[in-house]
Amino acid sequence: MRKLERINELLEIPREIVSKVPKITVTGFDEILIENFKGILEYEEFFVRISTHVGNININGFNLKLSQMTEDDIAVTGKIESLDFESKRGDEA
Amino acid sequence: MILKRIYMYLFGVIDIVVEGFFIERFINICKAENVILWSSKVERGTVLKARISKADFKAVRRAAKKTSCHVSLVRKSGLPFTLKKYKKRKVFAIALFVIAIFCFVITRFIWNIEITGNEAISKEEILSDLGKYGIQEGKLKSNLDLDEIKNEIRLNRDDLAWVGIDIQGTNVIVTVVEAIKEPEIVDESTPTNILSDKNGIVSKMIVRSGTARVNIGDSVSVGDLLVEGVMEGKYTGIREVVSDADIFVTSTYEKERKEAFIQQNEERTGKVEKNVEIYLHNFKINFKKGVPKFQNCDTIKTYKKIKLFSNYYIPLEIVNMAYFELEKSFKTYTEEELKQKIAEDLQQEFCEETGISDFTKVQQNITSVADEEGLTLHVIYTVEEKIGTKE
Repeated sequence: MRKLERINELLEIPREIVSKVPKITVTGFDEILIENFKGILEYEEFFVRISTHVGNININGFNLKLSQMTEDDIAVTGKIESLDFESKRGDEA
Repeated sequence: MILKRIYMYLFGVIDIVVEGFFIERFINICKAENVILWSSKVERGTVLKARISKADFKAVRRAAKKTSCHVSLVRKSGLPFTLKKYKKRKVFAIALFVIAIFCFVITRFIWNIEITGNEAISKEEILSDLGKYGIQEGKLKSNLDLDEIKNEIRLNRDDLAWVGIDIQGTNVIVTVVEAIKEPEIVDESTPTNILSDKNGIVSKMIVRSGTARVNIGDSVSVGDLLVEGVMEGKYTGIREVVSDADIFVTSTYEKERKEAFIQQNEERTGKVEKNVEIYLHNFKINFKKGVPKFQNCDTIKTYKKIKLFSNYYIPLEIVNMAYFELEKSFKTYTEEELKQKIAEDLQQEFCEETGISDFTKVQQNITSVADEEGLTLHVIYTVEEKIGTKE
């Protein structure tokens, strides 16, 4: 496993492609794109909780919409107030 | 975004509303089933509005069943649904098909020929030449060998330097370049004389080579020898040369005309009758039958060819006809007015006959005689002209 990571590092392959680590892109305060997500835990207009392989992502805000959801990316739009992460305990990352 | 819209339109999109307590689970199942959800929004925690593609609807139904949610379909949009709607309208579809075929067939033909660049050669002449090789209104444009036709036309006519034929849509654009007649090559070795080609009195002479046989003030008539192609020298003796000279003569033209003081004129009364004719490629359709009710009238026709767009003419021509009623009226001229009128008419006539464009160089001498009925005008025009033809 370690060796594989080394090779990846050597070849400069983006991590989110090789592993299941999520890539979170925040554009302004109104759009978040999460690649490599696992599922949705909670979904309200003011709160979205998304699970990934390394932990959960909590998004607080107003009028939150899942503007696009495909197999492994999800885009949340709306007025985003705060964003926090809960990393899984015992995760090696 | 536009790509997404196109995709949505092509494959059909369904707006759904899902109601239930396990919305999150429903979304997760959708994800597991590879269903793409767009612009989904939760309202009051239990209602999800989302947009899915048509193909995913079954999977969504299954997911809803698993999570005991209720799915309702709000709106269907996109091409598959539109097509389905029109499936029953067979006549409409057939008509659309027929129109498409009709358009296709009609654009295989030539419906208009545009000719540009001709000045001396008439349009009809070129059209008849083109017609010989199959370029004619109403002929198929497919089996035309344009290069061959261009060559043939150019070879058959001396007065064409270049011919270009371009077919754009149903329009044939023919561009011609007329050949300028090559100047006659003056053979410097054989001696020539200059002969008169007009009648008049010699007013000015510039002789560059040759010997003048007339003097200033002499009257010459057509065919008289003006300059002989010989030169006499004290030491060289008589030798023959090519004569070269500018000879000017003043010639006079006389014109006479008598016109009455009271003249009949035809004037438009302002009443107009209009008619429309439609030509379907030589087949005439009349909208109004009969002839106009006016006894005397001017008829003015305006032709308009219909085209679908830029160069796609169709065999349809609208002819707008306007008949202007004419009324006969009598006008009485005063002597001065009539004099001026006749003088102007004669001047125009004179210019057309002699081909003189600059009338300021012409002297005119007007004498008029009036009697009870009318006025007789006698005009003598005096012009200085260059004459002489080489022989």
